[in-house]
Amino acid sequence: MNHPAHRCLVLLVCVMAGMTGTPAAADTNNSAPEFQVAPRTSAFDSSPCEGCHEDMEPNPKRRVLEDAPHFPEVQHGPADIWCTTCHSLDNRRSLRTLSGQLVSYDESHIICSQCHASVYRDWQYGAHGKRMTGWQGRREILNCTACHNPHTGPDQRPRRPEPPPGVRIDLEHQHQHRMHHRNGPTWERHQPAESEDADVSR
Amino acid sequence: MTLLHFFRDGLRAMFQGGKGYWTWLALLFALIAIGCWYYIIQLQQGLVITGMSDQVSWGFYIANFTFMVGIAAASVLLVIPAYLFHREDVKRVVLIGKAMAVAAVITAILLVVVDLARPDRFWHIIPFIGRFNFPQSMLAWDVVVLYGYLFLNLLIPFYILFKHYRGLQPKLAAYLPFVVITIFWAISIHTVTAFLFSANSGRPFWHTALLGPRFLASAFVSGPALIIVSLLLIRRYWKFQIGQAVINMLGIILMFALYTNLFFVGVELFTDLYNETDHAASIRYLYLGLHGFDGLTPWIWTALVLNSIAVLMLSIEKLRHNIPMLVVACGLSTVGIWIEKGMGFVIPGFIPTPTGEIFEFTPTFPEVMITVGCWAIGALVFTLLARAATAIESGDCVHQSLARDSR
Amino acid sequence: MSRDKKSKPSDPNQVSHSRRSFLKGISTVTAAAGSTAALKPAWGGSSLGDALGDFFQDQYQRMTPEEITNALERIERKAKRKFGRDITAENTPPIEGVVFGYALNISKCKGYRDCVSACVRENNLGRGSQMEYIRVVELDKGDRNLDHADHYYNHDLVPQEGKEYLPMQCMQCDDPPCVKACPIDATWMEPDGIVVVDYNWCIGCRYCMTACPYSARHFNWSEPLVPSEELNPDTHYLGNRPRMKGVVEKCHFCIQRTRKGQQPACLEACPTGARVFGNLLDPDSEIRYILANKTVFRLKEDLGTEPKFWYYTD
Repeated sequence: MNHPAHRCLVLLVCVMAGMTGTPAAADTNNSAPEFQVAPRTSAFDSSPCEGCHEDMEPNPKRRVLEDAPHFPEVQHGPADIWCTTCHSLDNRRSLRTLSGQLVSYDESHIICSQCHASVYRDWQYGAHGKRMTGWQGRREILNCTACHNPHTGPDQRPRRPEPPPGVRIDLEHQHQHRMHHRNGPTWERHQPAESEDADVSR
Repeated sequence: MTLLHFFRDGLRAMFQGGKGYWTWLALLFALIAIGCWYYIIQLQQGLVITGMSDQVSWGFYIANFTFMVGIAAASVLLVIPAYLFHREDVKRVVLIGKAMAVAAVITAILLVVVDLARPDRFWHIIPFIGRFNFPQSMLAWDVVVLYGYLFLNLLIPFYILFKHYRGLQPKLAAYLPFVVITIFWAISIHTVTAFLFSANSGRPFWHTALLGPRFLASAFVSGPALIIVSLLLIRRYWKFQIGQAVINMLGIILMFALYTNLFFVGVELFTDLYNETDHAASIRYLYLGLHGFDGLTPWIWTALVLNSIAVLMLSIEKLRHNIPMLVVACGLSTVGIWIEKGMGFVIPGFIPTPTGEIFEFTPTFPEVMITVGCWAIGALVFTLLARAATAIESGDCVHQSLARDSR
Repeated sequence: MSRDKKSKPSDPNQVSHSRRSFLKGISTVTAAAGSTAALKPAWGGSSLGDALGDFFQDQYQRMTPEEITNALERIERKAKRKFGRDITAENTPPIEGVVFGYALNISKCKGYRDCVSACVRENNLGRGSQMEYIRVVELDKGDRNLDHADHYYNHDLVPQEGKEYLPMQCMQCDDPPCVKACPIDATWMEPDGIVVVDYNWCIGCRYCMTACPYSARHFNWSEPLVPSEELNPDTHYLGNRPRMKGVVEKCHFCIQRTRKGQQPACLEACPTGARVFGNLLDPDSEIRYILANKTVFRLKEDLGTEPKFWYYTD
């Protein structure tokens, strides 16, 4: 879709913009609606990478990073990736594309888009992710990493839900929540019955 | 002036009676008082004192309303033989039938009023002053047909009774057009009430074309049953002449209506349960229970049994012509239809909800007492109107000029 | 954007309604004066004047701007008496060229019910009466039959394995059966597509509730109780202004927020970003993208109600 040189130019602009701390507006994929992404580079102020990496030799060998204050290894689904797939060895304050172009942390979605193209398109157009501003006017959306940690695996973890609906005042005694005895999935009906009732246990 | 005498003498006739009559009136007044008491509590606290919920948002009041509209419509079964077939013996009692129609409509309207959560905003429904969503809303249609029916059933008896009171003959040409209108209007009040329910395409239990016919069939059971019992009581206790042929005619109508009703029940059960879809959830809940919830199954099966016994009794001529047996059959079928139309029809329309939730309904004691109060008002209206009508029709209550002349 | 701004108040006591804070102070003072402070608030929390004003109040669509202003002020006075809080009741009109639509990604819904509780707080729903505009049900994956839905799931953790979650609320149908059913036009569809209720006009017959195929309409069986400190003071006449017993209410797409360009409270609360809201008439909107490019469906499509609430999947 994007010619590599074209993208390089865009990324360069992004990187420069990233260094100034103001995120750029839209992609050159000009049918996507304009949006802004909450910047992340301010995190550098509290934990600058050079603090440790200035004195360390860059080591591209794939290994488990023992003694490191950040993720020792990467679990990114079935994908075969390691730290340096996305992080630049030479410029710690940058990410990198598969072809080595530098990308600002403020534009980390570009990294994700390399593999997750269809979700990326949905995200650009608003079918994925959350619009943080009003439904019209200026559109600010969250970076992928605001919800998804690329190092440890997908999604939010299960948690306790808010309480179930109440029952009308004075009718609480009447309502008894009985589990439905549902028909199981179709294939279960063609199998010989198991020793215990499969559906009641649900 | 004569008109005032008519009302004065009529009122006097209403409250003339022996110990038995006054005991009956006292009982009704007591029930009305209790109903009023609980209604005041309902006005203060809201409908939370009933057993209704978001899931079952219409309960005992509307269940009884539905039954009452059926009773009101059934007076047409006397009107047609009296005025279209010129049966004099039926003409003698048709006004009693109209008194029952008036009483039933008033009770129905009262039940709707007690079901309204904000009766203090009653004026909102008055056409032109408020905002009346006619003809789109079926509830607006129901308001129109019920008040119109009330008006017709007051107008015609008033005309006839006022004429008889003055010793005159009512002119057929004057009231026959209204009679014809009343016949069609009677059918329409119950059809419109059926449409009130069947219009809801989100509730498959109600969303059937059979609902109009079912309502009329059940109305033609409960109506004649109540009329027969009332006529027998009036004949016995008020010494008012009523030909047995009238009772027999009503008994046969009752029998055919019961057969029709049972046939309709069978048709519904087959249509819903043969190739069962989700649309059958309510009827399954009603007759067989659903997912462990079966609060209504004893009721509906009782109704079916009562109606079956009643129709068998009525099919045997010897039993149908036997007064005590006839009364039993009328009682069984009235109760059967009341169950079927109330809890067997209104409540299951809400179970399960359109989003699949099963939440049952039980009327509370205040809810029942308010309903009984409305019934008592209806019974009182019927008693008083029938009392005055029979007094005038039997010649006991006539204008003083006639009474003087006859001496 | 205000139909609610008056040019010339005819009565010095009747201040033209706006929600700037300094005018708030003025309106409270004049409200107190206007309600003849000598009379005790006995009429359901109103003064006699306010109670009569309420009684004779016309249906919303027939009220003049002045009548609406008076009604709004009555609402504010009553809230002050009942809750001891200053609230603003507004009548923000619909935005031209906007018809709202909502889409919900059921692949993302985890059944947290955060939307349910956010709505309760934003819209001043009665707490004791347990009213909730949104109902999230749990379904087996692959079985979207609502008769099999569990409305009362209460697991320690959600999402449960093998389950899907389906939040339901008022679908703001384009052909709403409830609007047809109401005998007094107490509910209708506004130009921006929201189906609203005039709570001061409703007589509580509940016919609209029987007509709704989505169990979306709810009733105040008793007086709705909102703890005074939790009351949301930014209200709209057709939306989250404090309601009373005996009237119907339902989701109104947070009309007090959305008519000002804000997102509905349920959308803001959802942590997974499953909800999308916007203008159906804007071809570049997020919702239009979803409707054109994702697998969408609506509930009970066969009923012809034309909901403006869609569901989609990843």
